[in-house]
Amino acid sequence: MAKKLGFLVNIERCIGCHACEISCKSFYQLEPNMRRRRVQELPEDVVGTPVRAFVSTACNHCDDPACKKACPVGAYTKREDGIVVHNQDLCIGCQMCGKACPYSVPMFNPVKKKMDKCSMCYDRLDVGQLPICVEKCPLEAIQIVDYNEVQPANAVSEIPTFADTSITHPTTHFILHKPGKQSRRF
Amino acid sequence: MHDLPLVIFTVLSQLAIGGFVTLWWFDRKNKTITRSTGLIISCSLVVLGGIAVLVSLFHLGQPFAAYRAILNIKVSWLSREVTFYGGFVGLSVLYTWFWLKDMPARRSLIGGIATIIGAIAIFSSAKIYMIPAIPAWNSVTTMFAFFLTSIILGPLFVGLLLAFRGELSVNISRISIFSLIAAAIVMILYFSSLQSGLPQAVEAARLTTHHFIFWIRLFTFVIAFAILSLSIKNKAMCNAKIYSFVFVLLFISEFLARFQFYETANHL
Repeated sequence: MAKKLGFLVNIERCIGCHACEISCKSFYQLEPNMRRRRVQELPEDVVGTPVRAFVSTACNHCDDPACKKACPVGAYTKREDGIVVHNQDLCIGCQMCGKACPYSVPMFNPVKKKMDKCSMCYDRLDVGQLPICVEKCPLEAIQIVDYNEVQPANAVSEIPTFADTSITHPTTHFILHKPGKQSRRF
Repeated sequence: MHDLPLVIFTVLSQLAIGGFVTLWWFDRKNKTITRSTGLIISCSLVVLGGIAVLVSLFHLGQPFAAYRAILNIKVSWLSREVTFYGGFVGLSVLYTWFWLKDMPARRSLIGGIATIIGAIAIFSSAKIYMIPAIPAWNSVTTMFAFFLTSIILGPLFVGLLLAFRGELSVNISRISIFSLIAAAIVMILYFSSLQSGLPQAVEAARLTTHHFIFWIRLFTFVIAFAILSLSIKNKAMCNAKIYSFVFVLLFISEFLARFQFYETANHL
C-alpha cells in the first residue's frame, strides 16, 4: 500500500520557541517575511481548562489538495507517499493556489515572483534524513507519520483556528494537552 | 489593490463578450446594421477584449510565461478560463474579418460559435472564485454577478454605438432595465447569503457596506436605473448621449462592485 505521509504536531510539547520556523527559513534561505512553517499561539481554552498552547503548522499535504486543482500550469503534484510538491520552474505566479488553499499555505515570493510552500523536505526524506523542522525541534514536537500504517493515539485532525478539514482532508494531525483539573483557592 | 488587473480583466472581458453576443444577435435577427457600423463595433469589442488580456498579464509574477496557463485544463478552472477566453478573442477577430469582407453567413456561424465559447469563458471565470476557502465567493451569486456584468454592459455598449451611427432599431432600455432588476435581486441574495454565512462572509458584507465605494456603486446603479426607466416610454431619451451617460454610470457601478468583490474577500 502507498504511504500517506503527514505531520504529527504535539501541541502539548510545543513551547513556541519558533526553532522549526526559523530553521526552515534559514535552510531554504527564504526572503524576509516568508515562512514555510508558522508557529502561533492558540486560544487558552483550547482544551477546556486554561493552558498556554502553541501550534506549529506548515503545508498539510492534503489528500485532496485545493492548490493542485487551482493551479493553471500543473505546478503541483502529489507524490505516491502523499507529499504535495510545488514545482517552481513551472509556476507563473498567478497566486490562485494561495487563494484556493483553506490554510493560506502557498505564499508569493516577491523576489522570485513565484509561489512557495513546504515540500516536507522530500529531498531529505528520500535520502533517509528528517525534514529540517522535525530535526531542529528541541522538544521533538513534530514528527512525520505514515497515516496508512499508524493512527497515533490521542491525535486529532481539527483544532481551533484550523479551517474545516472536510474541504481538502489535510493529513496533519495534532496531539492536544490533556485537560487538567483547575484548582482554586477560596 | 494587487487584484486591480483582475478587476479590469473580468469587467472588460465580460463587457466584450456581452457586446459581442448582442452584435451577433442584432445582426442575425434584424439585418439592419451596415457593414461600416458592424465593423466599428466589432473592432472596438476586439480592442476591449485585447486590452482585457493585456491587463490580466500584470497580475502574474511571470507574465511572459502566461501561455503555460492552458496546461492544466483537465482540472483547473483558471486554465479553462484562459483557454476559452483566448478562443473567444481569436474567434471575435475572425468575426471582425468577416465584417470587413462582408460575408454574413460565415459571420453568423463564427459569431454563434464565439457566443458559446464566450459563455463558457464567463462560466469558467466564475467557477475560479467559487472556492470554499473564501466563503464570500463560494456561492452561485458569483456566477450570476459575472453573467450580469456581461448582460448589463454589453448590450448598452453596442446600443450606444448603434445610436451614434443612427442605426438603433431595438429598445435597449428595456433589455437593460430587465438586467438591472435581475442585478438588484442578485445583490439582495448576495448580501443575505453573506449575512447568514460563515463569520468570514459576514465580515465581507460588513467591509463592503461600511465603505463609501459601496454607496457610490449603489448611487450610480440607482441613477442609471431611473434614467433607463424614464427612457422606456420617452423615445426622445433613447439617444446616444443618454445611453453614453448611462453606460458610464453602469461601468463605474460594475467596476466598483468587482473591486469590492476582490478587496473584501476574507480567507477562512
